[in-house]
Amino acid sequence: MKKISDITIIDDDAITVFGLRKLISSSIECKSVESYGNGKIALDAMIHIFNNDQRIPQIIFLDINMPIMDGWEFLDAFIKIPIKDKIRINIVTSSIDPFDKKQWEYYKSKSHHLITFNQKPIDRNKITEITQVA
Amino acid sequence: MLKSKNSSSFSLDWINQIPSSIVIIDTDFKLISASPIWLTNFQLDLNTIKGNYFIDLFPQLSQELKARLKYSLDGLRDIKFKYNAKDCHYSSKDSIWHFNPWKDGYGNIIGVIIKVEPITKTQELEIELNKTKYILNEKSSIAKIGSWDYNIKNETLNWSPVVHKIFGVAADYKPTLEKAFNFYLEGNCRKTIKRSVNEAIESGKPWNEKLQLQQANGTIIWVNSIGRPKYSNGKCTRVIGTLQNITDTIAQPTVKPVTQPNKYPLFEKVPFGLAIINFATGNILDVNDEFTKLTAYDKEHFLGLNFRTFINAHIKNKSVELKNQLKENGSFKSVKFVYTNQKRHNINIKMTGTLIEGLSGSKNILCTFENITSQIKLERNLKNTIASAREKNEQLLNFAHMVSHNLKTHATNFSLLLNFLNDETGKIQRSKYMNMLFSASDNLSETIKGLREIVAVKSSINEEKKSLSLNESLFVVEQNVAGLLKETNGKIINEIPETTTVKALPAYLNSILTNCITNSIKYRSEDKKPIIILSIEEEKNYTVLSVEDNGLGIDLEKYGDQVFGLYKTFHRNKESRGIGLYITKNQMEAMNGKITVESMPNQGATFKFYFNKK
Repeated sequence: MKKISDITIIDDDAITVFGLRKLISSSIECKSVESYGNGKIALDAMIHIFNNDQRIPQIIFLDINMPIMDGWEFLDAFIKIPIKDKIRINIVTSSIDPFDKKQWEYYKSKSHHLITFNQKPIDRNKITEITQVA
Repeated sequence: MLKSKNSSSFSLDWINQIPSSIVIIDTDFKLISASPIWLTNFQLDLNTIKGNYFIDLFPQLSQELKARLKYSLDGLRDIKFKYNAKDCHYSSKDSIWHFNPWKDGYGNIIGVIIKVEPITKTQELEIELNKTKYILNEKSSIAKIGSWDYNIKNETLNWSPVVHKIFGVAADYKPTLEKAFNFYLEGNCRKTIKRSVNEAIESGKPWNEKLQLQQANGTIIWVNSIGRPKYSNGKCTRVIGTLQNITDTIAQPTVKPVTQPNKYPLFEKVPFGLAIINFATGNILDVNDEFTKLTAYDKEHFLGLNFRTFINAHIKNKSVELKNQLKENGSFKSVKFVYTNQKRHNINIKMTGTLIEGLSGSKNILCTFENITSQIKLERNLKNTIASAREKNEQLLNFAHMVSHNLKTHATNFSLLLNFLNDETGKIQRSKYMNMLFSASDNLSETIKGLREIVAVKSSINEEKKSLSLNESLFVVEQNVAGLLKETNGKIINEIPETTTVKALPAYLNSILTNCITNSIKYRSEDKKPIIILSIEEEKNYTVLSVEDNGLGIDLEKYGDQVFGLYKTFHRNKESRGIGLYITKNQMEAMNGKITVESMPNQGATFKFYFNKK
């Protein structure tokens, strides 16, 4: 298994972020885990990283329903950044709206990144499965 | 013994046995025989009058009798004549004489049979009436009637001077049958006259038609053409007739309406508008009363009007399509259009049309016109109801998604934290989890409170609205947000007149104002002090409250459809717009009002609240 260097969590719910961090740290070896409270802050950070030729996190956990900029808007902007590496983006949501499933299928087909759709809750087995380099 | 020119001798003995009053006259108007009852009636002896000129027996009536005998010999059946006893010396009783042609075994007319019947009062009246009518007709039209005579053998046509005048040709004009036909308008009129003449020659059928012809100078007139065949030796040798210019009577179009209802007996009895249109010319021939009621115009307005013009005025270029449908299927599919009638009322009309055989075999269109205005209204109401039901359904689905999503998030958080708590032994770490559990529990309560508010709006629609002073309500709200205003150095500029009232539910008005003002403060520009301007516009049905701020504004192009929608994050972030505007919108709508927003990013927002005056 390839070692993961950077993981990013984009979610506005503090408890979810805490839970994910805890799950990750207890099951996966990883240098750093960053978290952002909404899509806009995260996107600004990603663009900054890209423009400074730094490394884009290999794995992104992305919530959908967030204020200011939601998960879909983030994804829409993110896949337009010309990143050569294949990034793994795990969408994590408790939504059962069929619209969200459609959105996922749309973005999956549009991008070279690996995009997965995951229903909450995420358990230990699941986190190991979806935290592998794409 | 009697002899007829066309038949071998035959017995007239039967006449002695018949119980009615009958007299038989030959083609030369000579009395051949009479029944005993007839002889008794008129107190005559057969032997003394046999072979005498019948007319000579009734010298006072000779003119009238002669004319009727002639017509009868021409083949006209059941000509009635009223005999007045006081005019003659033979009989003491008034009677009705029925003239009928007498035919031999081959159908040749060899004389006239006159049957004499006692008169009844009604018959008398009827005859008087007909007579009066006849006289009136004669008087009014006598100047314009011309006669003509066509000799079949020589193919010569003679016109009286009046006929020349009617055709608009000089007195020395030499007519032929073909020339005469060509004066008649091409199409039905010409077809009718040709057919009538042919039928008269071939099957002895007389005609009486109202037709249009074009005079030599181009003027189109209506004429009444009457013709009947004349027989000689059982063969039709001549056709004679009259021609009358009836344009004046047609111009006040009484002629068609009189003739049409006979053809279509239900014409005036159906509960919808009917119109008969000449298929070839497109002229409207007749409309029924229901049609005039519908349009509020007189019948005269439509007669002679071109139907194509009528149709194209209401449905652009539709007439060609309808004509093609009629040609192909003999009818056209129902067409709906809006018609503005004489009284300036717009009515929705459903029209259908069928090709029918008109008078004298011409092709006509029978159109029905149904007023479907109330139907359309009902249909529209139904559509609105369906649309609003659909909207409600969608809202319910959104609501279900939202509820499920929100509750699931909390459940997930609870289970996550409880698992961590279970695995953890360290006291400090455990108390940290406990705190997080409390905050998760608070979030859940907040969510449920929000859901309850939505349900409350939906269920309190039937409460009574009150007239409320807007400034008083605003004052209460200002007290509530005073802390927030002070903290942000915000300012409310109130331009609402003291007297302004709105009809609203007090709790809703408070909630709406609070929501709006706190939103304006929450979404303030970082580099500006929040300023909120409240003002009033009066509209016809609404009192409109404008709330303008100088805050962040909203990118309506991006979020336009979501501003007042249920945003799924409302429970999580205190700074999110979320549920507030959704509830505000529902509250305004519950009070038969509405809410709109105008905004540009970084240029503030103006919310307008439309309070219904009713």
